[in-house]
Amino acid sequence: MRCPPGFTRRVLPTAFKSRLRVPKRLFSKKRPARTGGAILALFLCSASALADPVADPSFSRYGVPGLIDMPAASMAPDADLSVTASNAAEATNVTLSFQITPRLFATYRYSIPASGRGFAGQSADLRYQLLRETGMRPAVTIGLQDFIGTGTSAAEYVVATKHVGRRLAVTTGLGWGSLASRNSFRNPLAGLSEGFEQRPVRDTGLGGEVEYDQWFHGPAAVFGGLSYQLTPRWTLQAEYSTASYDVEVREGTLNRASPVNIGVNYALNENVNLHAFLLQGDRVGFAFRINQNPRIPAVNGGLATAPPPVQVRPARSATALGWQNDPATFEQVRQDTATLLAGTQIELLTLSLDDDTATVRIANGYYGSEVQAVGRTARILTASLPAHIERFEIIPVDDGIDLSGIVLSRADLERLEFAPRNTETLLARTTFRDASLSAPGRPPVADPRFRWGLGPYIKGSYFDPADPVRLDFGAHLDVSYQITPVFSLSGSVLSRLAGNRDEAKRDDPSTLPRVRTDVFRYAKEDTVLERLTADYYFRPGKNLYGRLSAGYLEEMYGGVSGELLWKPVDSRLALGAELSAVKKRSFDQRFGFKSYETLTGHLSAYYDFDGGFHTRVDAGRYLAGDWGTTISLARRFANGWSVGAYATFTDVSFEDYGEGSFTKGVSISIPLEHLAGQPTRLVQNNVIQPIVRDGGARINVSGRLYGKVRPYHATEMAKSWGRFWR
Amino acid sequence: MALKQSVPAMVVLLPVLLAACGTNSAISDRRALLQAAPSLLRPSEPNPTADEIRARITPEIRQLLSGTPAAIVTLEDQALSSIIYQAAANGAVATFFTPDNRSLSFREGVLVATRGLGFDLMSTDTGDAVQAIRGRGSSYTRLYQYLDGEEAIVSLTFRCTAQGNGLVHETCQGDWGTVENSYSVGSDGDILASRQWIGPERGYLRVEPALVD
Repeated sequence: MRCPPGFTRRVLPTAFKSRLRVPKRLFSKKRPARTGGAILALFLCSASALADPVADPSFSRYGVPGLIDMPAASMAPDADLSVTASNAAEATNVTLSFQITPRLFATYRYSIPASGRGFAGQSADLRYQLLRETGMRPAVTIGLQDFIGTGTSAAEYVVATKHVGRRLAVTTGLGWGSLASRNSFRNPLAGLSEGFEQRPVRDTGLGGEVEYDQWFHGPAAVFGGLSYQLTPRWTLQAEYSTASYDVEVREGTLNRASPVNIGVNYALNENVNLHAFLLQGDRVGFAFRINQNPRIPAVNGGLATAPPPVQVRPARSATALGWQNDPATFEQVRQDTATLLAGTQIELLTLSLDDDTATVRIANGYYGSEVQAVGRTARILTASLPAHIERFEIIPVDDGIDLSGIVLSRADLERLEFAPRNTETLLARTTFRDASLSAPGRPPVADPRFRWGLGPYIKGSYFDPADPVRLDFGAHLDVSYQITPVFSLSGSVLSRLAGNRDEAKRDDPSTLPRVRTDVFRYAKEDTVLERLTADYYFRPGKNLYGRLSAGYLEEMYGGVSGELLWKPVDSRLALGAELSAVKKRSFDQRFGFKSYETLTGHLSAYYDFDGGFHTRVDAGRYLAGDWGTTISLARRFANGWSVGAYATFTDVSFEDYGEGSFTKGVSISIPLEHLAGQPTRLVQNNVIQPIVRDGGARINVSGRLYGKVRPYHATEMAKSWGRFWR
Repeated sequence: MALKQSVPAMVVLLPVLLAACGTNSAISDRRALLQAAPSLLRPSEPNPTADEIRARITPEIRQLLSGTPAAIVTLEDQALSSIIYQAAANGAVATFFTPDNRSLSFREGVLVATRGLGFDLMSTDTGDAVQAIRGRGSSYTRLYQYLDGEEAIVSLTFRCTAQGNGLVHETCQGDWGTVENSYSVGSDGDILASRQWIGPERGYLRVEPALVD
């Protein structure tokens, strides 16, 4: 079956399909649920982007599309995010991979060698597909393996993969570096320049540096393999490996009985793959892969109930009767509007009527999609407001400040509710503006002023070679008290019930003030005050947003922090400034402080490029008093997902910085609506920074402005405007 | 060494599935998800068919519905049935709701939108379908629009013909292959019952009268 543009073919076992898709409470189900053993797979197209014509489910042991140890030229579907874990010859590899664009793929890998025999290592790969596969030619991909990190398995390769029929894929490639450890020959590139003949000795140093003078140098070797898709779930593999396995042989965990590795891959469902293989004819290994694609939510458009229908006014009723001067009538309209909005989980903050325009402030604490909240508000206003009101200005409010003004024509809503192509037509007729300085009314104080929440938490410490994963489980109590709509107190207390994060005993040398390297000392107490702050938000002028925070800002620092953001409502560019005077908190995370204090702050520029790529540059003074710059790049999806990476370079030298040479990490935000389908504004924010050092460190202040403001601005709302009518 | 939360997607749901309480909206959200989770993860108990629903329409319910157009709908692929009743009208389009707040909108009997089913039919251009089903007109174009996984609108276009009298078969060919809708049309031209395609994920919807006299 061929899928039209914008739709993706997915292989879905029927049992899987029957499980997820329909809100079961609403309709009833005639048959009992199908049994889970259905192996028959359906080919389905889902409304999403065009996927690879031939999707290859198999990833290598090192977390890249490939066979067992050898890479292939195939790519994962665009935006696919994978976690793999493998264990073979007593060594463990855990990887995190992202298909950045349809042709560009990156992997981060954490390798734990056979226990007690050497150090855990971190590495990263980057691959680019030069040619896509067609009927006539193979896909061709160029790759850098372990190009940043400790470099122990550094390699470069050019690999081609061609499908013969639908089931058989043939892969062959030319490898350099650690992929030329067997049957290697003189570098063919030496014909171009003699310099390619020798591979320079790697200067690993502290790791983390790109050693491009090694690339494609030294002897080369030819590797290759076959994969055969037996059924939609089972794939058989065989490869000729040119990897060295020197470490494993030296440690006695592997014998090189044969250069051939064989394997079998089993697709449990569309998100989980299991992999078993025989390495070098000697040792059996296992791996699994879990993948999620930010572009493919559980349910497109979500499972929220139907929005209220647009109420169309009777013809020729649109005359003002002067009634809005009557306070009792106005109060009735206000209450009706508030009740209807509350019925769809939106809070009415202010309503004012002026001639033919209604100005409405709302708070959305429910819909993950800001556009959906605005769309539902507009529908309700068609039902609750008197007929002479022609224009709605909807102002989303967070922390008491106006984030934008979205101006809609009531006649457009009536006319376009069921019109073909109503999404694009309405967007073209909608105005976004900064309403803050002219809009009448002020949001009221929240009722109740005091709010609390009790829930579970999981906190992890990772990448300590002594114990790469440590976890704490416990309860967290969040409290907040609103003094005025823009001024509130909030805090959280964590109480550990079980866990082992307190077992960490690292004492890394550091030539800098210990601003982060002693973070493990803050995990010793069971009950801690994680955060307690007073926060004040304000709008100093048009396009300007401000925040002042004071108190225990985060687990390691307290103090005062101020931020100013410039962000025109229709601009892709935002500029910000943040300045904080902080003092280091006591290890017990109660109310005390240690002696270290500093002034830290940054100037920031944010830019939203086409195609979902966002960049942010921060320049300023870091916690240890070092000066420098952080560059962040993220692919941000209209549904709230974000996958990005960042790197910080400061005036601390690589030697003084220590392991890793400079600060770098990955951040992934997952909107929970993506997984469950039910509306929620909950987003799981994950920051993975494998090495925490004292250089290039920053404080983590809650409630930063850009993340609050951007979702309600024109550029961002336009991307998901399809949700307006949902 | 130490870091903040860095958890694969599978683990992410874990805190959500654990109990939470409080007045904070974020926490209440978790609770809402918690309540929703069983319906997504557990097979629901057997529920009534269209015939069983019709049998349950007692004279009292009939009284309540009097004057309000109603119907019984079935999602064929999922074998789910529900009663629907009209809640709004915008020009020629009537919007019907299920008791649990999912909606279906029809332009003179031809499905033009769904809301709350997931993978909803967001908007349509039915072209000359209404006239053709009533026996006037021949070949016409229909457009179906949906949300993709990134909140963008994606479209399917079909070329359709309608044939028959009384029982009308509408055959549409296009991006999705072939779609076959059928309508039972009364002598006054009203559509009395139908089987209509919603979209790639939801398949076909059967619409039958709620009241059989």
